[in-house]
Amino acid sequence: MTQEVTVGGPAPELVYTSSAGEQKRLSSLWATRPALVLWLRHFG
Amino acid sequence: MREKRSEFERRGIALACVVQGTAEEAARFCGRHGVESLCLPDPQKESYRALGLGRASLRELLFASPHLKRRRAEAKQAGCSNKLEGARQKHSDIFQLPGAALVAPGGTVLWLHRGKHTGDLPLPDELLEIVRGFLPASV
Repeated sequence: MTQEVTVGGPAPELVYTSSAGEQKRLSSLWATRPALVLWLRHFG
Repeated sequence: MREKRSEFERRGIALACVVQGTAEEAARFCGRHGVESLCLPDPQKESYRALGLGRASLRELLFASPHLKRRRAEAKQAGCSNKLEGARQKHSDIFQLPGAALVAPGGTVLWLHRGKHTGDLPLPDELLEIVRGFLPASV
């Protein structure tokens, strides 16, 4: 993931571990429908 | 976002919040705010970097702009103000700036927001307006 995201370009991918311990992909969110993703700053 | 969650879902929009911690930390934090199922952990902050999100300076945190002060007050009123406990989490970077993206089915970025200060994230009603603007069919 070296190329910065731009409007019109591909959304960033992220492989993450769910709370159930499963490996999932952020891209599965927008596979079939639009997605709104927020990147929050720190835990509070 | 929890109050507006159903409105996004009614419009067919998948909603997610990427947070800085591990799955356990994310579940704890997001569970406290009733949005556990929305939170995706990114402890290495890979997607934050990919999105080009910057970091605030210490000066910006200590001497908040009027806009940041207003956002802090709004967050506090909504029960979402930041706490010192959160800042102490291993993967928590208090200088991290927030961001948001609206993504079309298939993965093309329709709209992108990179926060200019730590509270610079559109409010839920503003996000709904943005969704309406880009995806009128979802209204």
